[in-house]
Amino acid sequence: MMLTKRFNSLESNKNKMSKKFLLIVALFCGLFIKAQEAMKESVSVKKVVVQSLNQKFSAPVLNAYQENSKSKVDDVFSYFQMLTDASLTDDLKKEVVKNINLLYQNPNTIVVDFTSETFDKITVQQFIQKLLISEPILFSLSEETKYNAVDFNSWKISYSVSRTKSGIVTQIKVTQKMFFFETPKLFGEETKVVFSTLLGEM
Amino acid sequence: MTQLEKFHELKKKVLLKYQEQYPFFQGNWKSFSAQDIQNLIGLIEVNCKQTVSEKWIYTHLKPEINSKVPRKDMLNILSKLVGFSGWDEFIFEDKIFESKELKESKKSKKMFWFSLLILIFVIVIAVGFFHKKELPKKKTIELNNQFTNEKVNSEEVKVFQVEDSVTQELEIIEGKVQVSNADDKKTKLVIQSPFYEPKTVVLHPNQANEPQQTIDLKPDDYAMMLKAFMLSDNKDWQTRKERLNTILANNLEVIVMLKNDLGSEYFNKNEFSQKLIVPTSTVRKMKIVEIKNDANKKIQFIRIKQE
Repeated sequence: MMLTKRFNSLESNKNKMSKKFLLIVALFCGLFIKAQEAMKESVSVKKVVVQSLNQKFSAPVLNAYQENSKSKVDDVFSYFQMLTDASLTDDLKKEVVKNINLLYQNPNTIVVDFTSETFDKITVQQFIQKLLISEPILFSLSEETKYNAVDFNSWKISYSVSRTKSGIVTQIKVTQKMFFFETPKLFGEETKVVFSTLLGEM
Repeated sequence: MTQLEKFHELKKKVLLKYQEQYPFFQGNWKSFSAQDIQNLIGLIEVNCKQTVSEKWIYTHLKPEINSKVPRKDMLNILSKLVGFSGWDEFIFEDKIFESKELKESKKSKKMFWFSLLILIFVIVIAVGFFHKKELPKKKTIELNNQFTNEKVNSEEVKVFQVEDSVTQELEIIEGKVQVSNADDKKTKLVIQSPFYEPKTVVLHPNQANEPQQTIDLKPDDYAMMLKAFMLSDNKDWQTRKERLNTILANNLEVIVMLKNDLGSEYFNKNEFSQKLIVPTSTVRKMKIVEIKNDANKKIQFIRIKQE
């Protein structure tokens, strides 16, 4: 009788254990499935992020934005030229510098030093300082422009710069990165997310 | 007349010629006997110095109906017998007659077409005359700047004619629009421009007889100033900076529409003001298409088209 009772209590303990085990396994499986789904979601989110501008925009739309980026290059070279213009006041040149900085994605972007004869690479801030003390330089940009290396937030623009310094004309081929991405912009007190086109390194 | 009909005519003449020589014959080709055939052969030999066989006469002259015209050399012999130089002359006379007839018929046809043309012309003139009364009356309206009294730039103004809730944009040429008012009804003109205050003008039917009318548009000072700033050079930039700060609202939103409206770029007050303080060729190529002002009349929204 005693043996039967002990056997029964052992059996019931065993049953309880296996029930607990099954519950743990079920919970683990549930968690595992949820984790898998979450992983899938994060992977798909990543895929959206890495979508290139070629995939995001139709060719004519992307081309319209790329052509618009050329106008930024035209503007920045007009500003560079103004900085070497002795007839302009220092105050106006300060406004010009503000305009140059508004066009760049990063104030320390690397650019070609058009004041030197070796066309070294320096930061845009260093270049601005060199332009301010430079003799007058005239810049003229080629109409022919190529756009390539499109990725998720930029493309590369290739053009030719004609520099006239001390009466000597020098042609330089430049390839520059153009950033194009959505960014929050402040309109008074209201912030809107809009696409911005900003200049990158040369 | 066909060649076959001419041949039948020739046959009749041959028979008459035979009767001249042999008056006792009073019949026709059907009753033309074997003796008559011999007589005719003899007659041809005497007059034409040619010979015609009995068989040929049986085949071609005796039958009442001929299916085809005989050979031309035989026709020449018979034509000579009846007083012509040959078959060609025989049919030529008829051609002359025919051509005369043809000419006359052509003449009458010409007369018919000429009369018809005159009739059509008269009808067209008459219809035109009566229709002219129903043509829409056109009135030229000149659009002037109220202060300078100069004609407005055609590209800066849009005029819409509203009649019976139908809106139609009118073409502006050299600051003038042509307004048509067919039914002598009231016509409403809605004038819109980023540089002038909007205006609605009602044209009454009794004004239709006035050959030209002028509509004065009141310029929007801030918009005009902005246009001038966009076209300016670097001179007087400090004044420009101060004015821009005054005329542009702090929450200004500028939309630059890219080529073929395929995209747009947004600028806030600081970015846009900076562009205008130091204008580049890019700024000078911009064309303002829409301006909205806030309650203080400051410019709050600008839509620009990139040329």
